[in-house]
Amino acid sequence: MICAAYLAKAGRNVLVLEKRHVLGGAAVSEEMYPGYTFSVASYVVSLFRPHIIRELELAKHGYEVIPMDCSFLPLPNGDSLARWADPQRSRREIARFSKKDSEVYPEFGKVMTHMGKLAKAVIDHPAPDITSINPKELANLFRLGKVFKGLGADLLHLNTKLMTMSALDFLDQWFESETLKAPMAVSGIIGTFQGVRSPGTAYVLLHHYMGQLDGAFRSWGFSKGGTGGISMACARAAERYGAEIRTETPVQRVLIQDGKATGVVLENGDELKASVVISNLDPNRTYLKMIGEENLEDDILKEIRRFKMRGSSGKVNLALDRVPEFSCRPGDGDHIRGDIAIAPSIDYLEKAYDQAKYGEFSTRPYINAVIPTLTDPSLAPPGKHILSCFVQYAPYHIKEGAANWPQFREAFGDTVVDTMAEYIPGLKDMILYRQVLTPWDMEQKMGLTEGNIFHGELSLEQLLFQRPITGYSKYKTSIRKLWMCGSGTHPGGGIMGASGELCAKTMLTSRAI
Amino acid sequence: MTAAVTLARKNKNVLLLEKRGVLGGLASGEEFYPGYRTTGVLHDTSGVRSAVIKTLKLENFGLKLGKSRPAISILSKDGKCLQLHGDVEMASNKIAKFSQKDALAYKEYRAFINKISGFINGLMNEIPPDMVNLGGRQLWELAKKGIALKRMGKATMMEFLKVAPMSVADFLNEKFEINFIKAGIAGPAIYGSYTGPWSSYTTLNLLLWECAANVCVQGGPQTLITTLQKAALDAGVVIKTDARVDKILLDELGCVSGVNLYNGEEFQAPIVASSITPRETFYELLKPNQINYTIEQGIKNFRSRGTTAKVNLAVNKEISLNGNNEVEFARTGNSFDDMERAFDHVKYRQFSAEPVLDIHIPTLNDKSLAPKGHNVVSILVHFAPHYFDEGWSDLTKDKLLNNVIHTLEQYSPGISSSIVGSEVLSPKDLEDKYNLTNGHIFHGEHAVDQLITRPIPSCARYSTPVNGLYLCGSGSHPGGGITCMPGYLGATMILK
Repeated sequence: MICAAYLAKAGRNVLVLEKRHVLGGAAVSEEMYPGYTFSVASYVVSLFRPHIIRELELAKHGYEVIPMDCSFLPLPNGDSLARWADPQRSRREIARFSKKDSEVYPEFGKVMTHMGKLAKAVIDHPAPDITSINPKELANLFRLGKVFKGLGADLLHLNTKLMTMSALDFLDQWFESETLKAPMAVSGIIGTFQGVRSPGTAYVLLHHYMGQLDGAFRSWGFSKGGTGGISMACARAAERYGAEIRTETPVQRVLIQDGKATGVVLENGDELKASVVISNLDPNRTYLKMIGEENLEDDILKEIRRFKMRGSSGKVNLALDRVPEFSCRPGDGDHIRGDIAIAPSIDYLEKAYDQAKYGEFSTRPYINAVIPTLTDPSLAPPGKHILSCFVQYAPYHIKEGAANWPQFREAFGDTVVDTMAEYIPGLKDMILYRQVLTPWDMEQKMGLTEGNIFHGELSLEQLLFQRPITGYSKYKTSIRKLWMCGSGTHPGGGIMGASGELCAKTMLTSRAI
Repeated sequence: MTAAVTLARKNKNVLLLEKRGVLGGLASGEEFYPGYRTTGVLHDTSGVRSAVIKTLKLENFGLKLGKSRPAISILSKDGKCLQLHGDVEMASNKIAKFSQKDALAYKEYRAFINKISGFINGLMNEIPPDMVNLGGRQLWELAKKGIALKRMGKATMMEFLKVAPMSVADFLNEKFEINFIKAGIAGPAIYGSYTGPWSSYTTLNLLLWECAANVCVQGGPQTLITTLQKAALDAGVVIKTDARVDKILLDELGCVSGVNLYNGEEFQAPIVASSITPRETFYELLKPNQINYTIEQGIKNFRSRGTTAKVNLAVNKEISLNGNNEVEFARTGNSFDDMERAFDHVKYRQFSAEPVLDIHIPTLNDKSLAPKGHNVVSILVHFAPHYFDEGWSDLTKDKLLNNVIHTLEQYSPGISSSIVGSEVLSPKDLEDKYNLTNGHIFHGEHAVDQLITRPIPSCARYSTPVNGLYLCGSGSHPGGGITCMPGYLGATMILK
């Protein structure tokens, strides 16, 4: 929809076709239980590019994000750690576990912010193509080279470390307290099929750390009206610029004649002609379903097949009768108005991953939970609340076969509720309604291949000029007049808006449309 | 020792000080049980750089270098054995007995290795580019490497950039179908490291090994040590054993002025080259106020978690592994999940009941290592943690030994009753005996951020911020294993 908005704003005739009855894909709000609006899948936002909010005037269309002030870690022994936007409060809390860490913590924040700015230089532009000798490409590479050189040798080495180390190894070089490292390390594994000790996860840690809200880095927030609020604001902006949006209009495939996209065929058989088609589906679905194997060259087919999806997460959304309170820090204070992590130790997190490697969902899972109703009461009836739980690991490829996930759905939901109930006394009695999404459900319901929330693993060989495949990383596909604008393109997943914006801008500058 | 020979040949006065009674560190063989000898703690000599051997004319001192890597037998738990020869055709023919598809895939795999080895070996066998002073000349050096990368041809280069960050399991699963073959090929990707086959970047580790594995030293690592010793003495190097260095001495300007030994002796020298681990060098041989903060932190963060144990067995008969008794080198593994499970244990500071074994039977090549008809089995055991929850003791080492023997029984039924003697070296033992930080056989992990700029940016080109102190061991580029390269390049830097 962001792509549609930019194109419509530039005066093009745009039609958006959405399969479901609601807009937003995985960034969607739905009233799953009367009076309760769930952010069904994605539940927090930070990486949304600020310049997009400005350029599309999204605030006018209802975009509103309320910053989260706190990251709360309840511990099984009754203790807890809360990290705040306010550095002094954080320092006092962390000092109870390690005085040294409490002093290093703000330094770490500064360095990561610095690295985040560098990352900005990469994510806000189309991916550099190092295999090309085209003068414009070389200029782009040179620009990046200057940015890197400006870092100096130490930060350059740090950058290498960030790209290749494990999240935990990286954090070990700064901090000593496991209580602090565990919830920090999990940013490195969100949405990936890796553990906190896996090489390459420090990068994902940076990816999540470079969030920016109102100019403040590393802050996350709730969208008013649930995550779907963002999607609706984008939709309204697109419509305001003249785009047409049709829901409940599933597309079956792209119409291809002489290697060129000429429109789409809907599932009901209707054909719609177009001069250009843009797919927001993930690379797997775009190439294999929309284009079709018969229209793909062997080498392209091989590259798409190797593009790793591998969903690893599930979601459990609960409608609650009252406020859930944590026994280790009772009350509905501001400590539970941010995100809540069930991550009591490194071994706990690593064991959760190990189990998933061999085809089982974690019986002691990592959970990232939020109670959005404490910040946005409009999401539920007065006095009632929503507990939204993001869970790892729930591997798409369970040993019984992915198609058998429905048999395990309730057991998975039970595991999550049981785990949360260890920290929230009386939780089970509060539950009015429960929604469980397994990776299988995400695939079936939202078209996320293998339930991967980022449209493809964020590992180095699938990023930058290799996302989704080398040679087609600038939003074009191997079919002329067919483009891609979703998370399966640079700069990757999360609610960033960047892919949509960069796709539109690339199309406009290259006069593709 | 390579550094000593290189320097002495250029008429430098060299004194070589060895802590132990014998030279060679992990490359030295010894009598581990009365009447039974090994040819080294490590046994892979396929990465020895023939260019260095030739330059130093070591063949004149008795070294015999085989023309290709030795055959390795890959074993499966259900009794299969694949002889993976160094020669591609022969290896492919043997694989064809299990799968025609894999036989072809192996040829393509080795062809790919050939295509990238020009670039890789160029990178690994030269002094690393200067990443600290990024001035004009250094950028040109980097650009040259970039051009060498492009010279591989666009398709090969793209394939290399695609696969290098992958896990070795993903990489080999794309190419091969037979599980035990894949697991066997993957061995070098994870030996000595803190990774399992499902960890990212292990493909790069495998490719680096494959590009370098081109020879073998007849007689094993000990022969290399004996040759280097002869060459060193011939070139005028003075060698002192049982001469453990206590401290490196600095003058009032902070420059190296010599060393003093534990026994009180003192030697003066303007240059000291250390081939022990970086942490031992900076933390033990120097005083805290003699190293700057960057070195202190950098070396502290240089990861070297030892994950390898050594088991030597004295066996009183012929050994057959999965029915094959011509096997000098063998690897178990069986499947990626089995190897990954073995690795999982070290993360929780335990060792696996079924470790991955890297086996060498040196008596097949040299019968003098054991009594007539008897054999020596030299096993590198993956994975065993350095820091072990229960603590390393005779009791826990026995448990490890039993796990190894039990695992070995699957491939050689009845072997346990033929074992007359044994030796177990835990990572703690390796640390104590050979001064290896955390018992790490490569002096530091071969993680991507610890290669090229190894161990830390300010010491990556063998010289260090301490004037006159150089590093020339496995803790420097191109890393660990028996290669002769860090010593040769370190000496080259000193000569420069």
